[in-house]
Amino acid sequence: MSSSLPVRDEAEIVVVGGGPSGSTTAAVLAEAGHDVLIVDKDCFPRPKPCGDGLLPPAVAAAERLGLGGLIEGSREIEAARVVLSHRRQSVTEFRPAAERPRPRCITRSAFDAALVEAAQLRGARLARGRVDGVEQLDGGHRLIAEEDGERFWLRAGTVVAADGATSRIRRTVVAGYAKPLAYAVRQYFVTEKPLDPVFDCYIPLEFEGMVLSGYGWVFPVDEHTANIGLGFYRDGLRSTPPLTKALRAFIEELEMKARHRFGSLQPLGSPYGSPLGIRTRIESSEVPGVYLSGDAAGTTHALTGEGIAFAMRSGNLVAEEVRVQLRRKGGRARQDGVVSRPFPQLGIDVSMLSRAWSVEMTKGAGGSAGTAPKPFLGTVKRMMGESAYETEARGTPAWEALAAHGDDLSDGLERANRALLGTLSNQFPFVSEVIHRTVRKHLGPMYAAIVLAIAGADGAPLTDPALDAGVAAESVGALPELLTMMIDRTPTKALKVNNAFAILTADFAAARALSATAKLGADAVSAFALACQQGCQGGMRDSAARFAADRSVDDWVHAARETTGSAVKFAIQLGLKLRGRDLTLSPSLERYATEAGLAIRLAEEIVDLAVDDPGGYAQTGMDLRRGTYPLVLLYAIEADRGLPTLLARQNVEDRDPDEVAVAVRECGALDRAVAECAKRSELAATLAVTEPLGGEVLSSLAVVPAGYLSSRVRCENGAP
Amino acid sequence: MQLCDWGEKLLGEHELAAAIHPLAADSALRPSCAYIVSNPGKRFRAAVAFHAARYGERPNDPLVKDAAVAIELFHAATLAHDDVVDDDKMRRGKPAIGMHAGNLAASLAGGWLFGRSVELVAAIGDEVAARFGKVAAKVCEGEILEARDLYDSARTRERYLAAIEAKTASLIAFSAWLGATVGGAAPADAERLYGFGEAVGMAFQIADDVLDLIADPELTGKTAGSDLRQGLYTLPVIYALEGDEDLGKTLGRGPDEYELPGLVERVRDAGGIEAALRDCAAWVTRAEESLPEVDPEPEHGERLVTLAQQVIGRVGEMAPS
Repeated sequence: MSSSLPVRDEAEIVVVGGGPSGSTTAAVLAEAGHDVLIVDKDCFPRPKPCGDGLLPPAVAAAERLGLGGLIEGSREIEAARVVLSHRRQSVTEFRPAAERPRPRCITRSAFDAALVEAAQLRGARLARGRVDGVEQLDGGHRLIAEEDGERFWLRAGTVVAADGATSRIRRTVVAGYAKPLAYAVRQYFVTEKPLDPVFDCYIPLEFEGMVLSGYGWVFPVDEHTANIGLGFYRDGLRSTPPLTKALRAFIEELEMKARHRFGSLQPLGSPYGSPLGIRTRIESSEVPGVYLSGDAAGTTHALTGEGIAFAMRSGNLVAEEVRVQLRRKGGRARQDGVVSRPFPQLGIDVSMLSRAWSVEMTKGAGGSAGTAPKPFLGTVKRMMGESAYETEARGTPAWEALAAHGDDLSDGLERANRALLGTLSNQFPFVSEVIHRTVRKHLGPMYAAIVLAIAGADGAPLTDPALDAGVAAESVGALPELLTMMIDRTPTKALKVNNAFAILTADFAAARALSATAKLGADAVSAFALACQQGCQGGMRDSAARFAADRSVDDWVHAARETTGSAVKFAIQLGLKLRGRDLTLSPSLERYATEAGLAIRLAEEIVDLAVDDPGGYAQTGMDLRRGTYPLVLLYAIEADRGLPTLLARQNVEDRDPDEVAVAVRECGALDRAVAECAKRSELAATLAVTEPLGGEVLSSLAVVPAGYLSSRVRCENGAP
Repeated sequence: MQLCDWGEKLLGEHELAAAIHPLAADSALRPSCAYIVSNPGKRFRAAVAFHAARYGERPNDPLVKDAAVAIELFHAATLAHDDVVDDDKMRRGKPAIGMHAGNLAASLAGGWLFGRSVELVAAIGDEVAARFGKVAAKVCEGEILEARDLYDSARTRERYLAAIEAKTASLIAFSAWLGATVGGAAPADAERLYGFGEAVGMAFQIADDVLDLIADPELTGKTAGSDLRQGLYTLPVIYALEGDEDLGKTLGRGPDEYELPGLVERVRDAGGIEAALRDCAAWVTRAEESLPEVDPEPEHGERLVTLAQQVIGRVGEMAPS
């Protein structure tokens, strides 16, 4: 029966789905000269269940595709407002910058129609049909589709499945059924009062006595038209709440409690709901020549529900990948992580976090959870807030230092970096990512680099045990910080959640380090055990000195030896073990470990305090907030008697790192610290250079901290 | 009826305290570590190791004691970290380490004790160190599996069992295997004892979870119903939820302190406690069946059987019916 159906069309590349992801892919490929056919089940323009909010990356991407006019005429958003139980609110402003336009609010109906038109302008063809499945045939593919009751085939060399959260193609190219994790529903309303140019989010979201893991929103399409909706996880609920009823309940709540803000609400059209494109991991097609993209792959953000920017970016990534593969193998390659790897903040199972958050909300919403520093959650929040998080080791100072000695070494470091980032499948959110962020910092994976410097010396091949050792060394290096992401008093559930996640992450890092080391033998394990103990002692020494303006420099040095110093030592020992050597360090290597360790810690601290990072979401001043006074600050306290008073006067949450940074700079402490770092770096470099195994590379690594400072820190005397 | 003493006679408090001697007297970690090991509980895992060692040729080898100390130290470290997560106020009758010295101290002390336990295990040998590495990873995985299901009133029996197998049973299994191996038992016997440890470990955790709900706080040294309050829905609760939809809604919200006694009653009335204890007994039986068939001196097997039976017998002792 199937063979008798007509073949209606064929193309080099068929893109299934003309939404943001599909249109982006089609536009890029058509512009590059390929024959592209977009197949969509609807005629454009058509509505979509979505908040209609475009965050900066999506706006920028749309502008690049020529939608400047549409953007220009749309509602510009100045801030995001989170409203807690209609009582408290927290506002985040969007400050426009060169590469980061302000967000916009545009109906998907208008936006998607413009995007698909942009693709057509570049030469893509558009056809109507709902694609139900794909088969491989004669070195290409055929897709079974239907329109107005008629079924037909489409032939394609390559297929891009951008057919959304309820993707039918996904079912044929990925094993395992993915039950929808989250749902959203929205309706348009005319508001009596004019709407502020803000994204309003309302939590908690309640329905029939249950708190739902999610939030309600009111987004302003224009001054008197609101997109009102809600999104939530169905995890933890025995049955999915009916979307329309839930929305109705939210509207009623708004009418009661937010009347002052909106006035009366008149519905415009009916509610429209659907599952969200959220999975517990970003999925890749298992069939060669078929690519999953956008919501079909699960690229909607697990906590915010934001999907358009990620969909468009994944559309771009897939387009590039398709181009590369077409040049190489005629498009027969497997997708293999082209969409998943750049987005470590997506495809994470956040249901537990959502549930804990919901419970928190019912216990007295907001409360003091707002401003207290939550180191672990803070890191997570920053990480998830970035739509472009650099995960590669490439380009970090550690990587550069190795690359100067050979590609094998730097490639090895990249592989170790990837292993470190490997997640616990869908077991637990954020763990590996937070570890990675904690270790990565500014200098890059220094400890792993040290391992590889020795293991790969004189061209010795870097095998899996070497990469494992790199992971172990980095995990040990991160331990003291991970173990101190605790908060002492946890009056609210949000703070408890901080501690719960933090300790589990630390345990995971320790366990992973141990498993990696265990494969190397009992002596390596002993070395690990001692490094772990030392790291904890150093961590305790630092913690005991929190907020102590009278901390001695000696105490700092002692702690640094125990934390970064012992991590460097452990890395050296692993390197030696991999080369079959004894794990007892020569006196010069012992000294190297101390000096390099101190230099590393000094550099990271100085950067945390004194360097402006224009990356938008990077946050400096963490040390200050937590009260772990860096050496540079201790120097400053020695020089400036007024500084302790300044520090004591500001209450913890309001500590202004900029004000402190200025004081530190002015009294010459910054110069002194930078000089100290240079001194230690050089000393370590000299100690290493004559070492028989990897000495030269160890030497190069030793000067990384000083080198990094000299390029990033502007000293008071004007010297770079 | 006597409370079972398990490992107390086999491993003295002073021996655990001695294990932390590498910590300098003026180290900021010393008070916290000392506090943690001064409260070593029943030393069940040590008991399992000691009794399993009897199956070997060298049951009195000093390494057996070293192994027992290492395991108890590791266990203490995990408890210290549990206390940070749970924010539990009492443990074994005294304030939990988090309450005593702050969460930071608890976290770092736990880390140090973990490192020390690894050091002691590594001193035994390569194979043991490798296997211990896997166990530590498993325990960590179990903690994560458990945390993942917090406040999830739709938690299934399978997920619960997977979590406790990783978190609890794996360490007890390792204790049995390690004791036997270090005591010079044949590898095949050591593996069977591993199986015994795994089954008895499952029973142990289920019993513990039942006791958390219904035990007399004065006897357990912990506040009652603490699991529920933290959103940890264990086997008795999971069974009860099967029949009681409303219970699910209450739990999904996160119960308040005052609601706990009522909730415990509901779990009991829905047959949750009974069902869980039936499962517990089944695991005890499985444990008994796992023991090596040939026992050089039949009392070894009997000791382990008694241990297993005491796991469930303890429930009766500690809980008013």
